[in-house]
Amino acid sequence: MTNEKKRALTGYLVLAPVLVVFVLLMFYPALKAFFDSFTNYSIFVQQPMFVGLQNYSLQLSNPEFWAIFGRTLLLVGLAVSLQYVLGLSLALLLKEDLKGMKWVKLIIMIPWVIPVASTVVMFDWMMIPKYGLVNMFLEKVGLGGWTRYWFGDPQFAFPLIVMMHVWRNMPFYTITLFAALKSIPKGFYEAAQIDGANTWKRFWHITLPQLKVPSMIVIVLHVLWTFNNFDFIYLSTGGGPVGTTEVLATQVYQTAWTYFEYGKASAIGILMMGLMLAFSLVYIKLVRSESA
Amino acid sequence: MKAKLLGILILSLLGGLVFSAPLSLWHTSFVSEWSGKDAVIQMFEQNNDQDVAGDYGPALYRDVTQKLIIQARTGTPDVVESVLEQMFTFAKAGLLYPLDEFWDAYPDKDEYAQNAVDALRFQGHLYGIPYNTNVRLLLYRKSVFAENGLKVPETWDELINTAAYITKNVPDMQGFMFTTKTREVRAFQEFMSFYFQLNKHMFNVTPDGVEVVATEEQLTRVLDVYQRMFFEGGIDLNERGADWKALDYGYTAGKYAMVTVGPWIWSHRFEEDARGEVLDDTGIVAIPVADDGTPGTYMEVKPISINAYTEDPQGAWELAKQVTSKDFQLLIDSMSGVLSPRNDVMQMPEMKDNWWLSGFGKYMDTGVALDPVSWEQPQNFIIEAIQKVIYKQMTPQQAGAWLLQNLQRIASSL
Repeated sequence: MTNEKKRALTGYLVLAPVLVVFVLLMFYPALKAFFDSFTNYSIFVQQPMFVGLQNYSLQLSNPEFWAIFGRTLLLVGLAVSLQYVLGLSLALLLKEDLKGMKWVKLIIMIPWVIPVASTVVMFDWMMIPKYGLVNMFLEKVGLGGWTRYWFGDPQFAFPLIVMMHVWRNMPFYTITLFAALKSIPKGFYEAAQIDGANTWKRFWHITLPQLKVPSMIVIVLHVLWTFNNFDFIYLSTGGGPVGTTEVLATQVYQTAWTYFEYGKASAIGILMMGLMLAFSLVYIKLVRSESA
Repeated sequence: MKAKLLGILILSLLGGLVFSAPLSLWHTSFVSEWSGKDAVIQMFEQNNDQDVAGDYGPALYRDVTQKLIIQARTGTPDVVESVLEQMFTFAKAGLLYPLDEFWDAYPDKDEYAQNAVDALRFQGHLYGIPYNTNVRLLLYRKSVFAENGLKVPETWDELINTAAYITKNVPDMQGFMFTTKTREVRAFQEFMSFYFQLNKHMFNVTPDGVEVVATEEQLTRVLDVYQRMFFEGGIDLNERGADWKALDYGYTAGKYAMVTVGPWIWSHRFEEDARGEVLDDTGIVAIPVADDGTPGTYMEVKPISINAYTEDPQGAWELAKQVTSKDFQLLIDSMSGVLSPRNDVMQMPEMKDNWWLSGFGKYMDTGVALDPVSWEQPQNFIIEAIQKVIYKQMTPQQAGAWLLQNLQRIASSL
């Protein structure tokens, strides 16, 4: 065996444990879900039968599915864009080294390190009627007419879900973008200043292009994460009231663990996976072609 | 070297045959955080003469459902505690061991309340030993009623009118409260507590299948209670969609004058003295009855069951008997403030002399157990129908018809 082959073999051997874990924990379940999506698999069915594309056609021909799909996209669009804009703004502020920013850097990560379940429980207690913190505050400042169970109000439940996403994830954007901002060579800005570029032009022509790759990473990650996120909604509103916060992830859960129809749940899961794969490929390609 | 390894392998295999794996028990009372957890574990471990693993499973019932469905076929856990609705699902999926033979030979069986045991039968077989039971009743604030010269409601109309009167006339007090959150099991249980006065069954289960016996009129009438309670002033509209936390903690915080709830709320007295004072000022009566209805309310029964795939059914039965024994039920039920299905436990001073438990115990015979079907889907449709009414998407009549139609559609799959 040549040295080159030996080196390659060593590389494969080193990678092997990770690959085995990946195949067992990621690839096999995805493949199993793919096959299940063509069956009537359920805990109540002893011998699952092949049903072809029935699970897919049932979903795609159901107007409720499309309403939930639209709401999922709206949630992703609103949450990710707000997180990005606010996260970038804060990162720019941090870069300015203003007084007290050292403390802000420390405090800002707190929401991100709190587990999602704890975040939701905290928000839920704050929104409870009569003695939740928000309602007690409203009473105190003379806005008693506004008190309500905020997660139970169809007008406010969805915006609150978006708010929880933003509250938790914005710090991740801030820290990632702040690190990227710090790595932009100062010379770029000095040269632009000599050429007479104002603050806006420096931001538009230097800062933003330099942030393309880290932005792509945080956006792709959070689009995927928000699209698949289940716990924020399930733990706070359960998809209600009257379905106003139902998204595809909670729909999968309900189909699998309330109705125990694993074939149908797998079909929704596979549709979600396909959509997210397509999004990731198109987005990465777009960013790469622009960078080139 | 090779011979040594071979020897170790053979010894390991023989060891596996000789020394069986310990039994495993999943019991939420051993895991979830509550005031009696340590005492329960201590009692179990002191009296246990079997080899039982120290991992007592998930703390939440929804996790029990998921994990049991995924891993029951491995034979673990051997014994599982659940709630009635879950037990029917597990039994229907073939995950539980029928206990009929064990039960028939069990000397303690006559100590059990028959309605609690019957509640655990599915397709003619017994799938659990009951260890904890309760009924939903009307809890009301005695001082509020006395100070305002109010009579405790006995009919649905009186309940709605009294609730509206209190909300309007008693400062900082809401007359009544319903939980109405999406997927909130308590919302379903409250609905059934009213429904059972009109019909003791929602489904008729026969060997040929399941059919709906609820009528559109009955469903509509219960939904009408929700409509009137919210829109005639008994409950603030801004409290729509709230869950059990709002109801339980709201009542013991003194914000609501009446609620329909079970005895577990007793444990709030250990959290704050003020909550204990509210509970001491509480009266316990039957839920008001519909005009042409008969007394009836949701009865909760918690079973201890055996995994159909256990490798040691006899050992599992011994373990199930231990965690449903007289002493064990006395400890767990008295500490959690619920009733025991065992008559010998209910005769003990800790239970008999407790005004709260005896207050609930008086109405046990009005408790109606759920029909033996998989309840997850009907539960969701019932809560959806309630929400359609209280969020003004449908009238009670429309929601009643919608609910009946959906129950009929899914009946065959239950």
